[in-house]
Amino acid sequence: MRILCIVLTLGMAPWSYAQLIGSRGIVNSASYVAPGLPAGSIARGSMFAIFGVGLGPASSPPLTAFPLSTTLGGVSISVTQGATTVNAVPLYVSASQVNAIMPSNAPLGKVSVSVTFNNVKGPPSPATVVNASFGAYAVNAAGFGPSLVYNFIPGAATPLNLPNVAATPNQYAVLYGTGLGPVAYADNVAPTGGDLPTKTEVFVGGLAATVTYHGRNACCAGLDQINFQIPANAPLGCWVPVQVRTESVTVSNTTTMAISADGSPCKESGNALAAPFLAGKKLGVIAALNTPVTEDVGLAAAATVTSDSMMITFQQESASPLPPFNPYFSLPPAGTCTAYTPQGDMFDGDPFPLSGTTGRFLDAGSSLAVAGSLGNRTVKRATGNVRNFQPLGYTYDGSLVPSSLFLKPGSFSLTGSGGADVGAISASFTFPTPLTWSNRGQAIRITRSQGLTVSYLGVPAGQTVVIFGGGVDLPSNATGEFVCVAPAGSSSFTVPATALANVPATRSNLLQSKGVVYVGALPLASPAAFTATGLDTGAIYAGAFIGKTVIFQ
Amino acid sequence: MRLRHRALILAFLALTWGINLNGFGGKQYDPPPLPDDMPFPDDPPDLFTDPFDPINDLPDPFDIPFPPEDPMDNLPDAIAMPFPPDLDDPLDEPSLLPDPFDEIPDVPDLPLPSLPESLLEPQAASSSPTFQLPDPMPYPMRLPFHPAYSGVSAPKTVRTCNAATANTLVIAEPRRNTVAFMATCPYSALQRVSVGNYPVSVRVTPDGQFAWAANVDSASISIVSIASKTVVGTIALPQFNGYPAEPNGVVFTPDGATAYVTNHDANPGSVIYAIDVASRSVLKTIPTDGYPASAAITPDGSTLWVANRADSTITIIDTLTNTVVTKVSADVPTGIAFNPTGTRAYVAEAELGNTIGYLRVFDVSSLATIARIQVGGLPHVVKVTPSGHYVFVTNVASNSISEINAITNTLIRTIPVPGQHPLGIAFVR
Repeated sequence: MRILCIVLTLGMAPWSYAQLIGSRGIVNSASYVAPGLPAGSIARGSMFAIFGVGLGPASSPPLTAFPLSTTLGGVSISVTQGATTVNAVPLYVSASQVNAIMPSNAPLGKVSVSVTFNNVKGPPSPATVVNASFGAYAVNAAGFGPSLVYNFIPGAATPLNLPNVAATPNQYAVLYGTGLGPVAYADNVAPTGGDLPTKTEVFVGGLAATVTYHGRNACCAGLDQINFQIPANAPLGCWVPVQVRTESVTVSNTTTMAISADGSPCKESGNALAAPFLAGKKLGVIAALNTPVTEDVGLAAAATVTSDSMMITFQQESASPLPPFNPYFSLPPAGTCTAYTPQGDMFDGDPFPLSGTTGRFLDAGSSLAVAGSLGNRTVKRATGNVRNFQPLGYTYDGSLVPSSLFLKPGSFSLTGSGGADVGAISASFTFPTPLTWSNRGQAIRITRSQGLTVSYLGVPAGQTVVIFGGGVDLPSNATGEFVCVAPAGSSSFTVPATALANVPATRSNLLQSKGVVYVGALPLASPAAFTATGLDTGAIYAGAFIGKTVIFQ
Repeated sequence: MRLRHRALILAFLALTWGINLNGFGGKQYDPPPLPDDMPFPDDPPDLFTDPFDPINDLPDPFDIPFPPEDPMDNLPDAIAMPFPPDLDDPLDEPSLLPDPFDEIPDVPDLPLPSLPESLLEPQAASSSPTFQLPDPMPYPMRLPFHPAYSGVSAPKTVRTCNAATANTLVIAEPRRNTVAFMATCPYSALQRVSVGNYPVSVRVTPDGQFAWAANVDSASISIVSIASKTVVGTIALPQFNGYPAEPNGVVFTPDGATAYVTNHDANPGSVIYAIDVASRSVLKTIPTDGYPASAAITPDGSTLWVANRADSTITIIDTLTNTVVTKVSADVPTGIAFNPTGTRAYVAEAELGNTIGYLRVFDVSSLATIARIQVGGLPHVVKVTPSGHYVFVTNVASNSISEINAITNTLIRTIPVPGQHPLGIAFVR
C-alpha cells in the first residue's frame, strides 16, 4: 500500500484537473486592471480575457465572418448568475488564454464564468459584470505605457502616436479600447457606428479633452473607439497620461501619449533619463533614498519608521519598433500624474510590471561600495528586476535595536570595480536636506473623489518634487498607485481624482489594506552624473521621501 | 514607417482579437456619422493592404508574464518534493491515526497565566478602528521599498494592551459542553455558556456579533450572542448519506453571508454544509473526501479549501456556486491558512509517526507546491500573521509551535509550549 500510495501521489500530484481558470484570471483584455480595483470589473459588451490551463486548443482557429459563433475551436464560455446563463462570444482561444465578448445582456454583479472545451465544462470562476468600464489598449499589451492612439491628420493617414511621432495640442486623436458599454444589437454581428449612451470623458495630462466620438469601431465587435481633441494647454512630454472615465465614476487604466508643441519628437526637459532611455542607450542608474514614514493606520499609537535604501541598475533597452516604457524612468511631465493598477502588493516587494528591461542588464560588477560620514555600505547589483531597493539601514520609534540609518545630508562616494560590460566606477553625490511636507498631519482620510493636496517647503535647489503613493487591497492582491511630478517652483500640488480613482478603498479591517502617500524630491532634471567605460549615461538620484500611512475612502 | 507601424498595431489587435485578418472578408467600413466639419479619421487603418506576420512582427504579448505571478511560468515540479521516508498509507489503518479531538486536554482553570507571546485568538472583533500590532514586530509592518525579511530573530517587544480595544477570547470546551469567554487585557475569565454536546470548535462571525459552536455529539451548531453571552439559536444539521452530522469546524465568507461547516466523518458521510447565515438554513451539502479536518476561505472569499486528512486531499470549492472546482494532494492535511493576499495556502500535514510533520506551501493560482517545511509532530492549526510574513503552526504531538518565515519559507524557530497538545492559536491585540 505504501508503494501504491507513492505511485498515486507521483502520478497525480497535483491532483489531476483538466481545466482551471487561474485565480483572479478574468480581466478586461485591454487594461488587465486587477479584479478588486474599481476598474477591475468586466463591462457588458466588452472584450475580456480568461487566463488558466486547459482552456482550449493549441492554436486559435481564424474568425472568418460575421455573425460570430458562440463556439470557437471547441470552446464556449458561459456566464451564469443564479438561474440566468448567457454565452460569451469567443474571439481567441488557446490552452492558456481565451478572449471573448461579455454579452451586452450579461447579468450585472457577481457572475460565474465557465469554459467548456470539447464538451467538457470546467469549474467556475468568479467575475463582476458592470455596465461600463473602459480599458485602453497599450501598444506593449501590458495595460499601461504608450497608448494605442493615433494622431489624426485631416486628409492624410493617421500615424500611431510614438515618441518621435508626437501629437500636438488641439490636434484630434483616436484611442482604442474596450468597455464603453453594451450595444442594443447582437454582440456577434458587425458593429454599428454611433455614440454609445455611456457618458465618456477623456483626460489628457489631467485636463478634460473634447470627445467627438465614443462608440464601437465598426470593424470589430467589442472594439471601442474614442475620438478626442487634445486640450490646447495640454502638457508636453513623452509620457503624458491619458485616462478615460465612464459614467462619471469609473476611470480606466492610465496609458500615455507623446505631445510636442509642433509635432516634433517629444522632449522631457525635466527628466534627464528620458532621452537616453528612449534612444536605447546604456544606462547606469543609482538611487539613494531616505524614507521616514509616519505610520498611524492600524496601530494603537503612531510610530515613525525610517529606512535608507539604495538601488543600482545598469541596463540597455532593446531596439524595437515599440517605444520602451519603464515606470521608474517613464515619469509623467511636470504638473501631471500617472497611475498603475497591477496585481500584487507593490508595497511588499512584488515585482512591478515592466520595471525590468526589454533588452539586457549590463554587468557592472556584483556590487558597489558606498561611503559616507556614518560609515560604509555595500549595495548589490540587481540581476533581474530594476526595483531592487536594498536596505542600508533603518530605525523606528521604540526600537530596542540601535538605529542603523546611513543616508544623512552630506557627501557620499561610490566605487565599484566594474564588470564585463561596464568599467570601474568612481562617483560622488550629495545627499540633500529633506523638504518638509507641511500638511502631512492632515493627511489622514483621503477622499479619492476630491483629490489630494499636499504642501511642501524647503525643496532642495535643483530638485523636483515627486508625490507618489497608493493602496493595496490584500484580499484581492491588487495595488493602485499614482505617481505625480510637481511643477518647478511650486509649493503645493493637488493629485487629481482621476489619479486616485483606482486606489482601492481602505477596508474596515485595516489590516486588510495598505495606504500610503510619499512626498519627496529628486534631481530629475540634473542628477549627479558619473562615467564609466561602457556606459552612455550614468545618473545618481539622491533624496528623501516623507511618508504617511493614510486611509483611502 | 507609417504603414509599418500601422501593420504592427493591427498585428497587435489580431493577437488580442485572434482574428485572421487575411481571411476576414471584404466588410465595407462605414464611419460613424458626424457633422461634416468635425474631423474624423474617415480613412481608418486599412485592414487588408498590409500583409503582416503576427508571429514575427511583434513581441508576443503573451510573453509578458500575467498575472505578475504567471501560473504557467516555471511551475515547480511538485513531485520533486522530498517524499517522507516513513509514510504509512493512511488508508491502511485509519484507526491508528490519532484523532486530536479524542483527547482534548482540559482548559486550565481560569484565569490563565500570562503567555509569553500573542497566541490567543481575537474571536470578538472590536469596533475600534485602531489597534496594536498583533504580532511581535521585528520590522515595521509597512516599510517602503520593502526589503526582503531575512528571518533574523525579532528583538523582544513587550505587549502593552489597551483594555478598551483588546480582544475577547472565545474557547470551545468540549468536555464541559460550553464555550468560555476570556478577556485578554488582562487575562481573566468572563463567562461560560452552555451549548450543545461536545463543541470542538467555535468561530465568531465577521461582524463580531455571534459565536458559532460546532457540537460534534449534537449534530448541531449553537449560535451564541457575544453581547448577551446566551445561546440565541441552534441549527440542526441533517444526516448525509445516512451518516449523522459530526460538525467539527465553521468558517464564514468575509461578507458573513455564508457559513461552511465541515462534517468530520468518513466517506461517504464526509460533507460540507453551506449555510445561509441570515436564515440559518442549510443551502447545500457539498460532498468531500474523508474526515475533513478543517476548512479555510481565501481572503477574497472566492474559494473554500477543505483539508480531508483521511484521503490526503484538499477539496477546493467555488463559494459563488458552492461547487467543487478541483482537488489537490496533501499528506494527511489538517490545518489550512492563507496569506493576506490569498496567493499562498499553508497546509499542515500530520505525518503518522507523530515526531515530525510538515507545512506545505501552495501557490493558490497554479495549485503547485512551492515549499514543504518540516515542523513538529502532528501539526494541527496554522495561522498567518496579518503582515503575511510569518506563519505559526501548532504541533500537537511535540507540544510546540513552529514559526516559519513566509518570505523564505524556512523554519525560524520552534517554541515549546507550557502544557500539552497545543491545538488552537490566534493573535490578540
